[in-house]
Amino acid sequence: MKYHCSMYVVTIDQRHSRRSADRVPELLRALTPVPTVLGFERTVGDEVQALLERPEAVVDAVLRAVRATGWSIGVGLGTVRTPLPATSREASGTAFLAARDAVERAKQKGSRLPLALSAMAGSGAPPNATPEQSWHDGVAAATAEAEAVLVLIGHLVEARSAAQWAVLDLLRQEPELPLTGIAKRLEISHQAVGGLLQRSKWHEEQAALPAVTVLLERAARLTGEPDAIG
Amino acid sequence: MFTVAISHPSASPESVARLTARLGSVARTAALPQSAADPELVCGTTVADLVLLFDDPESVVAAVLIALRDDGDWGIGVGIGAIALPVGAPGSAALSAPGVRLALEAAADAVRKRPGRQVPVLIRGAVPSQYAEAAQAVLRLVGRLVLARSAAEWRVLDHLTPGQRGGQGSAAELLGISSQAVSKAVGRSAWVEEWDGRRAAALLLEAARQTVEEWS
Repeated sequence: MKYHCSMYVVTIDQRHSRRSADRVPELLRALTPVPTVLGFERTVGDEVQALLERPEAVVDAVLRAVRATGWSIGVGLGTVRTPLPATSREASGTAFLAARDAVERAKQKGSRLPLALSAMAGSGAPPNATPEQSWHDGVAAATAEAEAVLVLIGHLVEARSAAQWAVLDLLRQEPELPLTGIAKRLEISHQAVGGLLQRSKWHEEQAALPAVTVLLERAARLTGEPDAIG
Repeated sequence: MFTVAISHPSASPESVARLTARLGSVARTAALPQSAADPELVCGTTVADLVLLFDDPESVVAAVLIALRDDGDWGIGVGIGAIALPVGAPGSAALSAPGVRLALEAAADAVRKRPGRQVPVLIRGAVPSQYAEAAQAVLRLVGRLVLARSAAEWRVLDHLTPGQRGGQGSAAELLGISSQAVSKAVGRSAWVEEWDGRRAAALLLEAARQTVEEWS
């Protein structure tokens, strides 16, 4: 049995799905640009799942789901059994179990942002010479802190207005476009663009994204197989 | 190893004394490690209104957030680098240590950038690293939560102990409000998120310190 170390599974479940329409197609559209190993697809009911390799992609997927609103978001970090099947539905490994655990925790968050991150070690044994308890504590701390920063960024994303998104979406499509260019496209003054950009906390988000990556990579190093730890 | 410098272009002796008192009272609480109880103070210089030295990153985060919460419009700089103060050295000698100098420069820049409407906290490592930058970004996000709180929210939060479940009931009793009102204030003010974020910022500060130690 072979495992690929430290991959991410993102599992996203619709909140109050019994009371509202099926929004899965809409979410899948929003997630299309996110680079994945096994793409987002519906697993069961109102739930979608994908297998990802890069922490930047995980953050992108999570924040797209936060923007979509009404979703419980779980990120699992762990190992995946190889060779990989064609779809994430058929795949297995601790990353999938961790994502299941995370999405269940996300659902329990009440009025707080429904977003959680869990990690599960691959072979179930700590690296050589590491006491088992301190290893588990280290993994838990690294994932908790990555979750904390993701939640803080999630708050910025959640609070944005449609007008702010109009500016940010243009900026994302054309990073070189100056403020005056955005103003022209949106037919508003460039002061207005500046104000929207500032209130969107876009710069704060950009500055904090590497923090999540750093913390996720740290957690990934800790959850990898003993041999893989450098 | 960590220096926190706090500056204001027109601080009064009263405002400095008030901030010093606030910093002192928190450092003595049991929630903080003992090393924070005696931050060495280098006062009375023109470069910064307050300079504090810390061994542990949690106390750095706590000090930064207290200064942000204070009404003084402080610019806050955190320096990560050698301090190596000669015992009993006069204030001016202490200020030339690399870690302290970084903090003073950062605080001065934070004051200058104040009109930029960003949270006025800057972190500089003697060896620049992704960790120092990440710590700064996270500390600013947490700082924003703290800055956004109303006096009414603080009245509730000041009765809570971080990480302690079930404290909300006794806070409600003390304040004579319903426990729903307490949990609403806790949710709205992102209290849980603040304390989770503090730990993340502290971890990143610690990683930045390790980088500085390894490379300098």
